[in-house]
Amino acid sequence: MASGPRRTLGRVAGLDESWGGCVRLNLGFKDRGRLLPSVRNLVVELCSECLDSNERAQQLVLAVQELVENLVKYSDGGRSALDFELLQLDGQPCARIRTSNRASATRLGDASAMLDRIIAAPEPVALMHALVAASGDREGSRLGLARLRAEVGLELRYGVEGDRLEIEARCAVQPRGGS
Amino acid sequence: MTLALGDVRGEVFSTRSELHNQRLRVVLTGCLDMETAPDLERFLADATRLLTSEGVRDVEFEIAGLYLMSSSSISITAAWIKRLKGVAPSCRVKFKTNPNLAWQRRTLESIRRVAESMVSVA
Repeated sequence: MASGPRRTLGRVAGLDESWGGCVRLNLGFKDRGRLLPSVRNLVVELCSECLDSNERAQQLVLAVQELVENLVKYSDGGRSALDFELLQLDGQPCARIRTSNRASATRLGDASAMLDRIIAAPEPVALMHALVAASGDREGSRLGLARLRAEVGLELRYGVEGDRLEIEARCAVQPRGGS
Repeated sequence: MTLALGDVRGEVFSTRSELHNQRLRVVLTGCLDMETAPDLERFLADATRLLTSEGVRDVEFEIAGLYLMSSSSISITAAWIKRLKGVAPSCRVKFKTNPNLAWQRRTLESIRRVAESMVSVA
């Protein structure tokens, strides 16, 4: 089914009902990578408005980019979804990125194995260096997932339900103006 | 001297290259995502041919205006460095980063480690 993305850029009520926002994409991926600049621009816009640190904003844009590219590369039909949110979790301002996509059993197995490796890595930066050093040796290195921990410092978790892979990545953030 | 090196002239990503005294300087501008990564790959393949045919000793990538480099392009760049070690081992590669884009140094550190004696990041 060919359809365009549904995108929203709006405020989300946090605990103080004034801070946060979200970018939500629900994609058929007929358009695939053509949408990447649009996704980036929405995330940049939201982060620029809500976050104190430009560096943190750059990191989150990078994380969203890697997760969207994973959706485009590894989804097997059906609809894929990405949610990028700035919100309060347990009273703490956070960024949360969630993806959901269908994948073949082989790809689910590969992704699960790599995510287990990344989550358990005592030195995520060393793992990233090792994956970069192995570049060109094999297809589908999942280097992008490793960057989420090594370069952005995101806490990762994932789940597999049937043929769907769901990934959640989150980190604390500093709101603009320290609110 | 401006080269016929097949510079990339896309809206999202572009290159501008110059060769002078066996020194190749390349300005990378824009965003390297999975859509523009193949352009980088073609450009680097062209650059390899130039390096070997012209005996280039130094390559400098000026990336102050490169705002994003996703994993697709990291892999392509690292694989290119690995090939370069084989075909032009005396060549030196330098990346000039933008201090306002902190991700650049983090990302390029991984690439530098692929060939520490060949690659530097400033």
